[in-house]
Amino acid sequence: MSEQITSIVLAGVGGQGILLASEISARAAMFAGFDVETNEVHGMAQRGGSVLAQIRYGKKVYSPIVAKGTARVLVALEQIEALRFADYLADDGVAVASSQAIIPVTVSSGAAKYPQNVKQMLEDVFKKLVFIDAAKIAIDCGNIRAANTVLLGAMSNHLDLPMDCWYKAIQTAAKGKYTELNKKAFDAGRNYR
Amino acid sequence: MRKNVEQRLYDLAEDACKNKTNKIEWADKSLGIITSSIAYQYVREVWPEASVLKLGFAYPFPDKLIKEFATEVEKVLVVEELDNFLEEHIRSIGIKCVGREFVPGIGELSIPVLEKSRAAMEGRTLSAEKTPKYANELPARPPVLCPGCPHRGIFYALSKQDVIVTGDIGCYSLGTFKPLNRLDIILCMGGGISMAHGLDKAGEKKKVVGIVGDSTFFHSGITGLLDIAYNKGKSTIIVVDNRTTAMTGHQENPGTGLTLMGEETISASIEEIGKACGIKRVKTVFPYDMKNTQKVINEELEADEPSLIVSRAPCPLRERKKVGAIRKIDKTICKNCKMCLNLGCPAIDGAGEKPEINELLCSGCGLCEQICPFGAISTTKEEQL
Repeated sequence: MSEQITSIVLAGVGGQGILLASEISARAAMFAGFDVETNEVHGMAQRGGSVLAQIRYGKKVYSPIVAKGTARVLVALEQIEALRFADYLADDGVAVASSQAIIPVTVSSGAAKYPQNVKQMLEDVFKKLVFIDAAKIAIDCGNIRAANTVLLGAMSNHLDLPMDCWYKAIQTAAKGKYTELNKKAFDAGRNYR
Repeated sequence: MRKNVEQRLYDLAEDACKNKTNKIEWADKSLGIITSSIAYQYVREVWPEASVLKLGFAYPFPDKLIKEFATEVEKVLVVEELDNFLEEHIRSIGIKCVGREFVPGIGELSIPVLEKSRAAMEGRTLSAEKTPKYANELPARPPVLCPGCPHRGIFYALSKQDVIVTGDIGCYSLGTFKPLNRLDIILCMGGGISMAHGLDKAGEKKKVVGIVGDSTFFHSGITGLLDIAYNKGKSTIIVVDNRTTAMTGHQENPGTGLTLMGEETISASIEEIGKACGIKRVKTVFPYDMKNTQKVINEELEADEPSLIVSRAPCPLRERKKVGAIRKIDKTICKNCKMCLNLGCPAIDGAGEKPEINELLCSGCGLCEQICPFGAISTTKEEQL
């Protein structure tokens, strides 16, 4: 497989804004002059299920599907979803995980248990991990719903896309009153240490 | 006429050989791959060095082009998803090729699948895929009916009935998951109605209920309903009418009064269509009224003739507003019977000592308040003021 292709995997729970995050990432890569392919789970996306979105960019990209073990970054909008899709990440890839926990119905109905020591598990699985309280940062920026963009900001540190492309992507994908909120959230994520 | 059709196929095959969407990408000629559609995208990444014939206009087969390609390369590999349609034809015109022995015919193709095919062709074995370390310890996260979903009331009411429930594809398919678990069979669109009739006619002892959404009813449910009336069926059909085509992203349908382009148009009546089909018992329920919904379902199941129930309330996800006032559980009254958890509502969290309602998620549909046997659930004080 071509080595010049960068793969991004976004994981989360339907309703968290994963498709907007995918759209922004794809546009940023496109504005940077790359060929881009994306692949997303629709329909289920707003209905509380596990959701995966994939973006691949490079000089020329054919397949929209990311092969396991090849993603440069894995971004999880919900903490255990990072564990669920950990196998997509390349050995030297970076995992960016939100510390947000969303309890699935299987747990609230008592049929399954939500793991207690998620941070420890994440540190065990990922060699390079950015564990970030994206929900809190988003609230500080003005709206918890911008947690997805906070994570994109944190992810952007590990990709080769210029800042003006990210801003342009945010401006065109999150329009009107949401542009400023999302830019602010993106910056907060990018500056997170 | 027949002659013209045959001649047209012959002409099209000629044309296909010149069509731009059928293209040869010459490269290393030791392997030539014939492929089409999405499989081509994977092929280009797995065999970047190979020559490729990409078919965009695959039928009638561009035989001349296929032969031209095959004679130039040392070995021909056919890569296609599912049935080996191209491969069989290519063999039938006397071209030696490989395909199905390396490319699986079940499931979707992908880069990793084809990398295995390539390894097998080259006599290599790939290391086995690893599952993520903690994968088996993670709780499953199936999609669920949203908080406030009007379908929930119908599935909960059906959970009290010893009946067989048939359904099909739409948001209401989600009624199949626990704890609602109230769909026994799911098939193609409209299948909820026709399977109900089939089971009923095949002599099923239990009463059969068929579920269908409003959009699916208009798309392919009416034929089945007419069949039930005409052939003297006795099943009960429930149309869960949420005034939109929800699962695919809230498109309009013949019942909504708007075309897909947003222009005003007729709004077809499910009830009137039912009556026109010859269904005499046609009822409409508001699914957030649990008591009446259960009463109507009871009555219709007891009837000795077919029945149509239309459960009508708009999809709150489309309306983008809460159904009603947010509910709260009074922990001093709650006896922890966990009855409310049987609704499978994402807003009710049962992971703690006693169930709790997540105020951010609650849509205020009030079903939990209606089913709580101890009166522990009510609107919050602020909401009442």
